[in-house]
Amino acid sequence: MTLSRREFLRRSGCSALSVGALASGIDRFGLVQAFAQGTSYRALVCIFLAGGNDGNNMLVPLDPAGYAAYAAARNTAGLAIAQGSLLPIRPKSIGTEFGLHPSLAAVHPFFADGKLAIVTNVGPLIQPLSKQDYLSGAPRPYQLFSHADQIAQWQTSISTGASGTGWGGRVADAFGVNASGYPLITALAGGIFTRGQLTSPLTVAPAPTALNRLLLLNGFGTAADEQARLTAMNYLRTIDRDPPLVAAASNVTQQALDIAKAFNVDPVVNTVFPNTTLGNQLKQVAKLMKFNLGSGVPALTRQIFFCSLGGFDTHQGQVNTQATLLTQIGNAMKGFYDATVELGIESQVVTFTLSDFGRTLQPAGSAGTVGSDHAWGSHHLVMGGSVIGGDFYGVSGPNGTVFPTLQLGGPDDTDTRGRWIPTTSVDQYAATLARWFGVDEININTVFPQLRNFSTRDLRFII
Amino acid sequence: MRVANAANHDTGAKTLLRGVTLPAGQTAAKDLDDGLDNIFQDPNVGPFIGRQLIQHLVTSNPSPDYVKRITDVFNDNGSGERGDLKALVKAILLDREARAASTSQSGHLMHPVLLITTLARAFNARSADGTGDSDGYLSPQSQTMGLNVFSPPSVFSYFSPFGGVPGSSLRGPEFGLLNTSTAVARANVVNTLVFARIAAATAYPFNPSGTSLDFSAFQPLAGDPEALVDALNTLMMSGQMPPDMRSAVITAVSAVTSSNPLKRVRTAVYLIATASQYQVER
Repeated sequence: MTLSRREFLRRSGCSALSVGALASGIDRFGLVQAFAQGTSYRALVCIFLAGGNDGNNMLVPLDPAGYAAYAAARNTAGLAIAQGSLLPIRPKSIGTEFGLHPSLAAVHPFFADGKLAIVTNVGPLIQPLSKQDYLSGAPRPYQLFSHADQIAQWQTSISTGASGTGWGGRVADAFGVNASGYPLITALAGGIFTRGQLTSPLTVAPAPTALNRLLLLNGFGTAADEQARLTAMNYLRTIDRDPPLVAAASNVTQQALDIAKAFNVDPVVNTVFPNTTLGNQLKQVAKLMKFNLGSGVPALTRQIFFCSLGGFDTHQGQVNTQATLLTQIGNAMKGFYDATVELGIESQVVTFTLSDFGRTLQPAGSAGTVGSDHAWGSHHLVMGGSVIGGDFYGVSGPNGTVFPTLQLGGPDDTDTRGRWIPTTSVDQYAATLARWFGVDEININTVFPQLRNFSTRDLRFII
Repeated sequence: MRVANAANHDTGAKTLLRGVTLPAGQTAAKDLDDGLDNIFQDPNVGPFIGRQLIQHLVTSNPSPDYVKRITDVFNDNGSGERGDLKALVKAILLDREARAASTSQSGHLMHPVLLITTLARAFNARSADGTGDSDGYLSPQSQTMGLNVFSPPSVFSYFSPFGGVPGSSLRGPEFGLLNTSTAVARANVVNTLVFARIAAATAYPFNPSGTSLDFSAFQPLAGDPEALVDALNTLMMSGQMPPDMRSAVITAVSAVTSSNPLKRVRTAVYLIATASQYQVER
């Protein structure tokens, strides 16, 4: 399903009206049939790995030469993962064996089953950038290796300067604002990813908060004077709407209370989720999906969710920290996939990771406290029933494959510490997901203004 | 504050902003001082700092002329001194644009800390039992509203000065912290402060006393809802409460029995403090 430019503009133009109707309390979620974009439901679920996940230990070459190069850089300091403990995978288009971090055991089988793909050496770029280009000062993303700036670039897909909107929010914008006031995009964690020009996300707490306990006002009993206070409070949001700041603040509260009213049940998802930060976020996503699918007719035929897990900034103590975090990710992603099977939508949901940056191949610190420093390109997981799994995706680099050469000062390194210059841009990665989600080629260029700088517009890891 | 480390210092000559050069061979501390001075002397600093201070103190959308007038004071406080913060704040608050009647564009949304501290100041915040001082430990309340005091998510603080107001072309930096979850949290924090208290936490190691608000000064007015709301309008909204808002609050206050003056005051304060008309300081 795609959206024409005219349709995009029409919906954008309607948004002001919808917000007005929403604020006056006319529309109620559930009473208004949301715009339909075809019959099939689709959802994007973003997992942000805050701090910069070390892709070099998440995905390691297992062929003798590849592992030897990896170990040469990392073994002495105690940062290399033992060859025998890596979980073997064989990406179809490469032909040699690689290993997943042993803590990703829960999702390891999904690779061979064709439901897990890996986008390799992807990161913020403005245009394709060879090492020669990089060294000669060709345009590069602003403030490389800096958390705040690189987080912003991964979440906005804009690397030329600060952007006020995230790419998730802009993808949502392409579908217009739902007349019901129920946003297409839901945030389980903070981040500019979810903010669009037209769209602001529904922000909710993770599980175990029940859906019918979300966004409730405290302090109103049934006593007549308390109900009179509630009536007055509700009335105050409908007046003094000329100053845009007052109206905007009232609208956000109104939207929250309308949605709270719509959340009149707490759907049961039987799949057991791990009781972890990410597990509870993804459990809430599954429950929100079940709520939306409701009677079998989805109120929204498209949804985007944003989750986040922190702790990846492993300058030291990486070995244990990353293992714990990757265990959490693997178990939560497995639980979430199982829940989408339970809901019968496993082919309509795709889960993917983003992170600040990869980390230096060269270790930082020494044995016992060893870690790694801020780098650039890294590897990312994409999982779902429609993913063409079992393979690596991206644009081939100097060695003719999509996987970088693990050599300090080598052809993919910005310097001598093993910071990979991405061969695939965030734009290409994100646009591939957005296209599957239903954004057409014209709107893709609006949502991802840098994509025109890259010849490969679709990484084809999903159908 | 990080101390300059001589061992890591590049002793070469340096070219700074506006082509200013530092000679080779300076100490790390001297280079740091000179570098900071160079930034401080940049003509962009006045408008950059001035604009953001205006946004925090008066309005999210100052006119270019307002920013210019404040920049002039930053550049020279009248006695030839650059960067006099006291003179700057005075000029911002006394500027004709700050003093003029509100327009539809004026004002800024209170961020969570302001929402708490304005209430604490207005109603003589005390300890939970009312006998002593508040411990000032209000961070958990601020956190639920999206602002974790002393832990901004980045070195660029809690929200961007360039952030917009949803549904409008205006700027509204504090809207970066307002979403469905924090909007409801704002009302619920007001509810806790106004109708209950922040309890003293016995387990906490600093012998905390909690926080409660003191409405005793307003209870004598509770028999006359109009007088009560007018007094609160003066205290909380500088007398700028719109007439239809005033009527609605008076109606709700009148619905509370006159034999419960405390609940009448609480009802009025809750309605004002949760209203967008109040939270957007104009």
